Formats: sequence, structure tokens, C-alpha cells
Amino acid sequence: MSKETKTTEMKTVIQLLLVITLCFSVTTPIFAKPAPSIKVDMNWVNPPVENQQAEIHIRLVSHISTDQLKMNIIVPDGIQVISGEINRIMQIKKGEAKHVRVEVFIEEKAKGDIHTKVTIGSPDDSYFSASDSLTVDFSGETSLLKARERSTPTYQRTEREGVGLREYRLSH
Amino acid sequence: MTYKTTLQQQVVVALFIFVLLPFLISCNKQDKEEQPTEVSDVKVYPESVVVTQTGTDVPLNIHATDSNNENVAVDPKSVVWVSSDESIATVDSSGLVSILERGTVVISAIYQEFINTSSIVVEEAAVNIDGLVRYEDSRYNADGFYLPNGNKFKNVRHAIVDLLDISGNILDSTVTTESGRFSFDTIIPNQYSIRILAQVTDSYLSGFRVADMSDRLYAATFPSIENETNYQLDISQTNSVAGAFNLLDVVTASAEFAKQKLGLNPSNLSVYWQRRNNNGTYYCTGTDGFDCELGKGIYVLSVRSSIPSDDDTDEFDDDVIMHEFGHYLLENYAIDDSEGGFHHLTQNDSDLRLAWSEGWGLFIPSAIKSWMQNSKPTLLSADEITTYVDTINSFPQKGRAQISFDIDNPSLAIDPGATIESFYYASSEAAVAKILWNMHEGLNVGMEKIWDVIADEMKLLTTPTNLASFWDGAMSSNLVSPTDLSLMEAIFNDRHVFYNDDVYEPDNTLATATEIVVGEESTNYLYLNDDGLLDEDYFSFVATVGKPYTISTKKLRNGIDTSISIIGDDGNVIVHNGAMLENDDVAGSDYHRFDVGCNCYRVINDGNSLASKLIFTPEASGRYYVKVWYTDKFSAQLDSTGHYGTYTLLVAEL
Repeated sequence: MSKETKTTEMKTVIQLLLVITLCFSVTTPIFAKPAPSIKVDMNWVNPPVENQQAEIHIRLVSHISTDQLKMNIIVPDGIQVISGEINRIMQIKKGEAKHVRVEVFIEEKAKGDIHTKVTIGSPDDSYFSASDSLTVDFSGETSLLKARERSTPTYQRTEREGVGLREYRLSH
Repeated sequence: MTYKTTLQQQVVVALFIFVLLPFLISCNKQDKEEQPTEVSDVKVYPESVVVTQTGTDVPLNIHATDSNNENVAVDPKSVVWVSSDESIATVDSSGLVSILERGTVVISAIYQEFINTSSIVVEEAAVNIDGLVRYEDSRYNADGFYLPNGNKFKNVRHAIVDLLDISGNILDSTVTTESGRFSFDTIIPNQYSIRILAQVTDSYLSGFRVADMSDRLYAATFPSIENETNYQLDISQTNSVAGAFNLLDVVTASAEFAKQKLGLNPSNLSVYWQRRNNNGTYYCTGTDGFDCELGKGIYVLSVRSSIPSDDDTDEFDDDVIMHEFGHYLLENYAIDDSEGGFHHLTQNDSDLRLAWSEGWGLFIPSAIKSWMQNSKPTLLSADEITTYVDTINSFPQKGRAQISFDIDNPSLAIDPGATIESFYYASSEAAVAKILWNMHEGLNVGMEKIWDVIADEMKLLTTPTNLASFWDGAMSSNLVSPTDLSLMEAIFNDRHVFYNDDVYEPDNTLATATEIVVGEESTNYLYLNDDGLLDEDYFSFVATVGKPYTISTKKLRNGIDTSISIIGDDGNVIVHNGAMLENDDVAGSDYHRFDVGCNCYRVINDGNSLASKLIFTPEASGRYYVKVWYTDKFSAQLDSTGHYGTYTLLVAEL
């Protein structure tokens, strides 16, 4: 096979790949539901360890300017906040990212979720809220939880006149 | 009488006649020798019986007569009663027949040497199976779902119902009524199942269905239906299939609204939903890639996480589903130029096509709920008509609102003051929704006429679909009377949308240019001229030789993209260093950004990105002119902008 033939074949393959890539990249419009105008993300600064302090980084981004951004952190039993405010009201500007750091102490065999909830507005009127959480589990029960999650489906696959059904059997 | 017996029954009777009868007769002969009788014939009454229910008893009697046809007393103890098939009926020594099963049986009475029979037919009973199917819905208010006992059961309406035998074969099909009732006529009592499909009958709404992410239709089956009637079949939320029936009911109700208020006949809407689907809630216009692999339809988010606050399930968020139904209406029965993508209710710098499309989607739940309140109040799950609610399974309680947004009163409580602009302009979906709602409520034109503008007039326009093209469509169709035009203008102006002449008009020529003061801003609208052409605004100012001036447009609103030119007394654009003194976007190429939500570039309608600016140092003192007009360059990006809008012009010494 000559060098030119190889080059031609490679070009053809590249062109084919390009066409395939284009086919997959052409998108039909997707009309999504409105996203919350506030977003919160929680992350561990370092992996949490039993009987030690750990630091949490909270990032808040708003699509609206407000001086009434309420942030609320809730920790489960076995975890204590040792620095940082758990209830705050703060200002935020549209598009601005706010960063909050909180230090916690994780006791032995601690288990539960650390939640951060942020709200703009009040329940009496229009408002937006968002939340995120981090899970702590040093209880050693993880395998049990996983086993429970793999429970048998409550439905069966059937067919009706050629149409696939996801059929749930109920009682009355 | 005539009756049919089975071969088995006939054999049994024959056995009695040819084997037992001679023996019995011989016994009776012995008795006869002891007690002479005058009996010449016996009859069993009734001669035939038809029974339609098992478990019942039928008494038979025997009558004996002599040769003169006179009654003769019968000793009951001497009568022998025999059933031809004891699996169907048994008979005791007094002639009492117990009905056990369907079929035909011959009961024989033997007295002395005489024998007579009665035929009993246990018929296949014709009964009606009827019942009521309901599903457990979640009521909600502006704060989220009621807790914990706010749920109510709603009728499963116009859905297909199958009657199945114990092997799962379809014996009959019917549909539920508006009140959720179904009925099967002339049914043989036995064990059956009733299966309700998450699909509306085609005769009511063609092709409305709810399927999982493998396109399998949802169904709820109630087994072990026996010989009963008036079932109440409740699909509770403890079983996840209840969500499918709420989705079906919400799109059905939305379609009923579209039928009655928009004059449409909606068809072919699939809703795809499945627990643990974390792709989001959206409407797909076609088959494409990972997000729309099942084709057109509404895809519904249902994230179930081990972390409760990460859960977001939309199957009971009626407003979210109605929002997507709004997109279905635009795409299938009108026109929608939006490229879709991510968006926020508080965003006021959106692509105008997106703001229009999403504003319509934000308005339509309120229109549907308002119709429900008046026409079908039992369908309504929401307390507040104009509040858009999207819940999340946020702690500490399930189903709290993550978005609670009153389109009729959007500016309160979020942030008085600084964010009020979030709900203004044609580039804000909240403003579009508010305008549509106020027209729905405040103009005496009716929803159908508003829809006619959207579905018919906007299709005829060459401009992209946005709030401005809706305005144009309303004008060309004479949606409002001349006396109501000022009312419509006021509705638009309330959201700082000015599709009307400013105070400086006419100012479309050098001769009619508005004189401006250097250092002072003037607010202007670019809108249609009287001749129907796009507006151009001319301004004049007096400049001093050698002194540099900045001429700039600022605070661009409602999607306008300005260009400016410096013009001399002769009406020509001034040329400086070989270049004409004209500018489109001072921000250069930063006027747009790539949006991963739509996989496209979008103009930023934030008031600054599309502004124009020039620095001009006159070579002679005198009067100069500034022309401001709507840019017609870069048309691909300009589809995001509008041809009408508001700006301020500032000429200032540098």
C-alpha cells in the first residue's frame, strides 16, 4: 500500500469521524424548566477523618442581587461546628460567588448529613432556595445500606398489543 | 320442557335407571306388598328451574296421583332423591337442592315404582363490574406541598382500562369517565384483574401517554377482582406509579384548557418519567443524543438520592409540567425560535427569543390554573393561581418549594430596590409572563385571540419570535381596539417595555434632529417610523475644534443593539484617518458568550455589551450630528436581540 493511499484512507477516516462527531453535536432545542436563581455547593477541603477536625467549603452563586441571602447549616449528632457561623444573612450581587468556610469536629462513628440551605426572599412571598449536603458515615453500616438499595423492583415488564408496559401490581 | 344434558349427566341418569332402579323397585315391591297403594303417577315440581347464583337452595316437591288423577298422600321418607351431577347440585332427602356450580343438572325423585325428574339450569350470571379509579395527588401552596395530610385522591380520567383473566389475557377494555368511573357489562363472575393504563383514550386525546425511560407505558393492575361490583381502586403514593397518573392528569387538563380556550385539538404528547432520572425536566422537539433519545416529548426529572436534600422529583410539580406543556404548544401549534437552554426567572439579560419562549412557559401555568378554577375546580392542586412553584425534597420537610414565584407580583420580598430590574424588559422571562398575564386579565380580548396572535400572526413575520414580534402581531391583527391600545401600552410600559414613540419623535432626519446638551444623557426609544420602517434617531450638538468628545449609547434595554455614526452638515458620515466614524459594539467581540445550555452563542442583553461608542475630535468647530439606529450586521447573533428598544445617548467632553 502506497503512502498516498494510506494518507487518503486516513483522511477518509478523519472525515468520517468528523461527520459522526457533527451528527452527535447537532442538538435539537431543549426547553428546560426554570433553574433556581441561587446555587449552593458544599465540598470537603480535605477528606474527613474520625476524631479529627475537617473543613468544609461552601460556594454560593446568585442570579439576583440581594442583601437578604439567608444561609443555614445543620449538622447531625456526632458532628460539631467549631468555627464559622451556622446561621447568616449576607449580601450577594448578581453573578457573584460567595465563599464560606466552616470547621467541624467529627466524632468517632459519626453518621449523618451536613446540610446547607440558602434562601432568598420569604415564604410569605416569592422566594428561591437551594441546598446541598455532605454525607458522613463512619458507622460501618454502608454495606447494609447498599444491600437495601438493591431491592427487587415493584413492577414487572409486560406487553399489551405490542406495546411494552411497566406494570405495577397493587392491592385494593 | 326441553333442556340439554351433558354426556356425563346422561350416563349417570342411565346408571340409575338400569342399575339402581330395579333394585329400588324391588325394595318398594316388598313395601307395596305390606302397604297397598293407589298411586298411578308422580310428578316433581317445579319441572324446571333456572338459577343464576351459586350457593343458593332450591326446594323440590313430589306430587302423586291415582288413576282418577286425584292426589295421593306421599310419605316423604319413601322418596329417593338423586342428583345427576353432584358437582353442580346436591339434593337431600327432603328434596332441597343446593346449587354449587354453573351447569345443568337433573334431579330425579323415585317413589314406589315411579320416577320423575326436574331439570335445573345454573346459568352463567351476567353481572356488571364497575368501579372508581383514583390516584393520590399532592396539594401545594406557595411554600410547597402540604404536610403531611394535605394529599387528596383525584379521579383517573379518560384512561384506558383492561379487564384481564387470571392468565393476564385481555377480556375487554373500556375507559374511565370524567369522574374516574369504569364499567364492564355482562361479565361472568370469576377471578379477574383490572389494569389501568397511563394513557388517555384516543377518542378523547390522541396519543397522550406516560412512559418510562425505556418507552414502556405505565400501568397499575389490581389483581384478585372477584364477583363484586363498585370497586374503589386507589393508587396511593406509597407506590411510585401514582406519579405517572398525576403526570397524565396534568397534561390532560392542560390539553383540555388548550381545547376550550385556544381552540386547539392537541395530540401526540408523550411524557417520559422514571425514578432516578436525573437529566432534568424539559421538552424535547425531536430525537437527539442522550437527552432526547426517545424523541419529542416532556422528560421529567425524578432524582432520588441517598442524600435527601439532593432529591428533586417533579412528577407532582404541576406548574413545572404545565410550563413544559407551554413549550409543547408553541412548538407544535405556533412558532418558537428559541434555542432553549438554561434560564432563570430573575435573568433580565436573556436572548429575546429565550425570554419570550420561557415567559410564555411561565405564564401558561397561571392561565391553565385560572381556567381550572373556573371550569374544573376539582382538578386544581394549587392554592395560588399566579405563583409558579417548583419543589425539592429539601430538609427539614419533604416537598418544600425551591422556587416560589408570583408572576403577578414579582418584585416583592426578593430584594426591594436593587433587583427590581430583574423583572423588567423584553429580555426577562418574568416580565414577558407578567405582560401576558396582565393582558389575559386586563384586556377584554379573550385568551383565544391572544393565542391567535401567537399562532397565526407571529408566523407571518420575518423577525425572530420574541416579545416585539408578539407586539407586531397584535398590531397587525388589531388585537385591541384603538381605545384599548393605551391600556395595552400601559401593560408593556409597566415592565419598562416601550414599543412606542419617544418624546423626541419625529427625529429621523438632519432637519428634525434633537439638539442635545453636551454632558447630559437623553433617553430614547427606537421604534417604528410612521412609514413602518425601523426608526433612526438624529441628534445634533455643537463641538469645538481640537477638543475630543466621547459619543456613546448606554443602558440598552429590551434587546436593542445600537450603532452610531457621526455625520457632518452635508449629511455624510465623517471620515477620520481613512475610516468612517461609525461603531456598532464598543465591547468588540465580548457582546456575546457561549451558552452550554443551548450549545450556541448568545448575545448578552445586559445594557452594556451591545452599546456603541466613538471618540471624535473635530477638525473644525461647528454643529455635528449623531445618527443612532438598530444594527443590521451579524444577523446570526442579532436573532438574540430585538428591533425595538430603549437607550440613552451621551455626548461628553473627554
